[in-house]
Amino acid sequence: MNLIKEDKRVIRERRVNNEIYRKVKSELRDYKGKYILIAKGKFLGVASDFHEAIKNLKSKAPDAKHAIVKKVGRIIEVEREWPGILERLK
Amino acid sequence: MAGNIRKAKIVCWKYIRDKPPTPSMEIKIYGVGEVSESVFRVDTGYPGQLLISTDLYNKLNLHLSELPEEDFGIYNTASGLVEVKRSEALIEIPQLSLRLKAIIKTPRYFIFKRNLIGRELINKLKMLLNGPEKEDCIIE
Repeated sequence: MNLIKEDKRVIRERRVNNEIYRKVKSELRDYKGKYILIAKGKFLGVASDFHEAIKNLKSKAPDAKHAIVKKVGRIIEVEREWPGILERLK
Repeated sequence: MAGNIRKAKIVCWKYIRDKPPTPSMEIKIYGVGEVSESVFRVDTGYPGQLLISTDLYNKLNLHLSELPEEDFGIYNTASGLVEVKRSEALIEIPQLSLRLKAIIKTPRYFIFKRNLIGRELINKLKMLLNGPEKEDCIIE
């Protein structure tokens, strides 16, 4: 199994962006159904849909190496069973 | 009582020549500033929507539309826990002009070389498997 060597700038910006997300998370209830954008270590606002969020990313942080785009209130199932992966890893 | 005859559009792909052959689909993914059309293995054993190769995830700049790390996801597999990165993107089945928003994943720590379409997406489609002809089809 070969390990990923991810770009250090992506790793660094992901860490910072996730720190910001954890800080603002409790204040996002009012934006249910909207998309939030975090990049370059800043909360860059709220968009009505995914496309608008990506458009905002390109205009507000064109040189970002990582960004968080999340629909507020969507429930994501984090843990799952996947018994077939043994075959896939070969 | 006579039944109704309806016209439906149908698009088919040849199985991938694995041993044994695997049903496949061509899916276009709209990443951040990049678009790519790739062949996906239809994998009913995979519970998610799309699991893509490390190279494709990077090519599509999906690290620019990632979900927060707390939503990344962990698969409990026969070989242990596998953590995945998650990103959102628009996908399309071009021949049907069918567009959907999908959650795209790739393993976070090891290089993955396949593209899989799993049950969460398969279950949204009307799909026919024609094993003897080594062909699978989607009906509009």
